[in-house]
Amino acid sequence: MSAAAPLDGIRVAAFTHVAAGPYGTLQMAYLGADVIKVESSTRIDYWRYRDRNNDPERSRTFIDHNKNVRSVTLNLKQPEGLALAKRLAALSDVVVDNYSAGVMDRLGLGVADLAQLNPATIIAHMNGLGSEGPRSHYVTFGPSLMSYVGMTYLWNHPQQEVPVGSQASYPDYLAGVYTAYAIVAALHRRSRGAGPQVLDISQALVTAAAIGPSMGRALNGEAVLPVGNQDPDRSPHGSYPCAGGDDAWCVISVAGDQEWKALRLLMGNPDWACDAALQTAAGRIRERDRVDTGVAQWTSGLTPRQVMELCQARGVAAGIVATGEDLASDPQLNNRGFMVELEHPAMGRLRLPGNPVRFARRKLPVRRLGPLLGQDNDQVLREVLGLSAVQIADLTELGAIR
Amino acid sequence: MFSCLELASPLTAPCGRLLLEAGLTVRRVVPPGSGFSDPWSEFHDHGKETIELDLWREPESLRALITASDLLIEGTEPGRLAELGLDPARLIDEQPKLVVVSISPFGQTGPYRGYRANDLIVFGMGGVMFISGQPGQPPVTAPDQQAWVTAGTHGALAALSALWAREAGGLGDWVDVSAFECLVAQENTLTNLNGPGDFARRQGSQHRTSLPGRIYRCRDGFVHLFISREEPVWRRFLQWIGEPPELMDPALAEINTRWRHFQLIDSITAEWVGRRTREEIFETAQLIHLPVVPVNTPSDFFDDPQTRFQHAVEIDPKGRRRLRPAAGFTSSE
Repeated sequence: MSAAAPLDGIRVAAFTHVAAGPYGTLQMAYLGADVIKVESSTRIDYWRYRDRNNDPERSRTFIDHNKNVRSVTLNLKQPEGLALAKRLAALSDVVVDNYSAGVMDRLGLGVADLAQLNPATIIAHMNGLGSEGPRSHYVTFGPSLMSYVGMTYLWNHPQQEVPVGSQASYPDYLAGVYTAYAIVAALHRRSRGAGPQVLDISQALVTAAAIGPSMGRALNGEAVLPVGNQDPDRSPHGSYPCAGGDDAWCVISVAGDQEWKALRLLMGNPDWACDAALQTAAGRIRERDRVDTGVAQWTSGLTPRQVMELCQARGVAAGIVATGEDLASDPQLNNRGFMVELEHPAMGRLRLPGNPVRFARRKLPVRRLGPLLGQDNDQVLREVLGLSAVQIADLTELGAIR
Repeated sequence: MFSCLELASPLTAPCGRLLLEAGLTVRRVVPPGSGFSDPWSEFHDHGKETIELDLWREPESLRALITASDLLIEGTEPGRLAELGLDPARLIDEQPKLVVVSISPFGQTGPYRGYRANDLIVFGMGGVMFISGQPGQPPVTAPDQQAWVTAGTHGALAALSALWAREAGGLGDWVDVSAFECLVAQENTLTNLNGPGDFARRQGSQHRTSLPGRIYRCRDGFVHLFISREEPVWRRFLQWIGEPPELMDPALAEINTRWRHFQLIDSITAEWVGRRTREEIFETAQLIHLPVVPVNTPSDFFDDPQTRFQHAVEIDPKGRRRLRPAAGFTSSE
């Protein structure tokens, strides 16, 4: 457990905001990269105001998405501030930008500007719809992006008139991790002699690839409709109501006839379940509604956790439909030490999710929660950019650092 | 480039695809006689080499394949490989440069380690499902097995990072990816838990941070408005809908004030949007940088001029159309 973290020595200059960009650089920071987030203290990252709060230092989601990340606040509208940002970019292996298309160009930090500074720097743009094309400047957020791609339409129960989707900004998280993956792939290409690399990541196309199987069917003329929790090969398969609150649910999925038999026994062999027609998968799929109604009747008398434990003890795939509160006390997460509990300068002790990926030979510690605005100005300007205390004082007075 | 051996399963398929798209050679080990004909496999396994092998009967042949690989990705039940004498912890001792990425529903340790699970179960337990769907309806899962897609993306990043460290002179490694934890790590469930009982719930498409911020019916379909909390966005929204006098109170520029007048704002928006078409709404809103889009079907998405511009579709040798590999990004050198 003593070897260096895998991305130790890689520096990332992050011109990021909201969720997707920071979630991508978070993964790199987990893996040991030195991620330096360039922020503005006047045009503040919207994510610092998440959770309906009006204090930029009190957003749990910002603090979560920027763990192990350093913050410098530069005034990019001023020549001296911009010069500092350019120097940081030139000293970085990677520049990540998830501003709208064209923003970095207007700031003087576009591809041409950056490539001139250091051709070895990998530039990763992640825009909603990609940085080129007739609609590249269109504005999207995770939930609306999901609607644009067609994923929201498919994420629904069958025969519903109104599309619904999820409260989750799913594309932001997926595109974030994907961007980190694309960057590390580019690092490999660089070490094999590739020239300057610009990655143009379209969050819309990353999301489209996430539903690639459905996309393939649609592209070949099939009408692809929402199927909700139905599976072509399994029944019962879905979420079922439980006791213990007005919104308590479990999930059950039965593939083979042996598992069905085990579930039937757990349910106490009710008459409906012993019907000969339901003893094969094909039969249960044909009579999906009858099966679902019967299973729901059984689960309604149990809590989600009771259903999960009873089923799992008999080899039947089942789980709880977890709320945030369930996850906060989840035995598996606790057993694996998934949660991190650290002190934050403004919010005190916070308990947040940790890194979902573990290396057997390398320790990947979460050292710190998300930074305060400009928390690392002094350290980064001295250690990375090599400025003296006097230079820092002068540039601060000038308003380049703020 | 590196060679990757994939013990093929639904858990490993997206990870293997991403590694193939990153330039690795990917050989998938499948049971004798299995093909890939379903849309899932057609998409995620396209372009991989296939080796037919009954690994439970021929662990020694598998061992030889591993020895010839830089990377092994696998999604077998935790502990199962050890029963074959192929415990990843031992494999990396015997072949110190080897990288093994194990993708499992819940991880290699812990009380759920041996739990039976497919994508639906992990999606339910990971917290995303509870907040998906209409209130009053059963929680609904995402299309196309997103627990495995998410875990596979984390797995591909971890694999490339471990190989990077190895190339820098280090040893290989064994990576434990828990699909459950990959979902839990995302926002919206655990991160947003504000205290007992105060957790995110299903509320249809109405997002808890933006107003207007839901899917509205328009004349010829549906559109998704996501008017975020910044004041300039709200002002542009008012301009867009013709500055209705009822909404011109400057106090409404503040999101928390807006929430107290939800009904008023929502009904005026619904009425305005309802009289217009998808295309008209999309174009006029985006002209002033408002995050408004149509709710597309997959086919609508492919008809969009932006998607067409990006040449996101290719035709395979059998004449079938598919999303091109590595569609997520274009790399220019």
